[in-house]
Amino acid sequence: MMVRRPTGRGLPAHLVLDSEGLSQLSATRPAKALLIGLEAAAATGGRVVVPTTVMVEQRFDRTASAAAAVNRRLRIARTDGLDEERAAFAVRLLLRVEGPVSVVDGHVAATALHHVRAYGGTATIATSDPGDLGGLLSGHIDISTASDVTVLPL
Amino acid sequence: VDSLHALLDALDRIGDRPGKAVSAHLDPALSEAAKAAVALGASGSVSAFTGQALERALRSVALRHVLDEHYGEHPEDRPTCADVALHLARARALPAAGAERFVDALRAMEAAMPDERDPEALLAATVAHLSLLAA
Repeated sequence: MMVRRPTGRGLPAHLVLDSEGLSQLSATRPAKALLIGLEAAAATGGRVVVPTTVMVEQRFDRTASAAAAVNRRLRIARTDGLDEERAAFAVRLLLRVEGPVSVVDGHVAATALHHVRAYGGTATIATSDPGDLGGLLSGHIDISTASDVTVLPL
Repeated sequence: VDSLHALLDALDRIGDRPGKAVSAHLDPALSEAAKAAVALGASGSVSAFTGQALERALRSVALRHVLDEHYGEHPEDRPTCADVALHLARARALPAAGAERFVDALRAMEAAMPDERDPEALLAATVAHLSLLAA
């Protein structure tokens, strides 16, 4: 079990973006909440991550987008692919909740939980849909990890 | 090509090619510390650990400059240090963050430390102050 300093100083604060988060990142004037999340990542060495299914949902092709060439904010985000391991993790999360939750939300939640496990610290999901994502996280079996993931309503 | 553009381009290409040996003059104690960290399981090797740490630092530099570039055009968009400290406290679920007067204490500490730009330092000072008051 990790021993934490009183304020968690030095632990990375990762930021995971859903579709609205990606949309805000590319906006001329991003929401203040997103900028705060980006500042927290910058201050702690946290990662800014866009799951690849979010890119599909947003019809965003970073390799072809002319916007990416001029908007540097889009270039600081790393992608998280839906490989077999991540897909299986997302499926397990989706199976724990009742009602329709999107594949994209499953991938977003799996990405956030993966980053906490792999790189330590905390992950915040910048989202316009805190309800569905909160439900996915609360159903996660590993509570110690799930409690390190929060949602940031946009 | 400006330096930030070059930095972002290079970061995009990480992993495209096999690694190569480079010579670096490290403080001997730093090298020993890295070996000890690897022995503790921080990474698979000193080489990998050094690369991961350097990449993390470079991505932070890039993000810092990208944000500052935005604030250069829209200075009113820059969050306060207290805003970021509060975000960290809530993300880390610090017990103090649930206290009713935590936000007020954070704002008061920011006013008392107007030159402080590090949200971690502001958060630590606020938590320590509240702990003293509670003692």
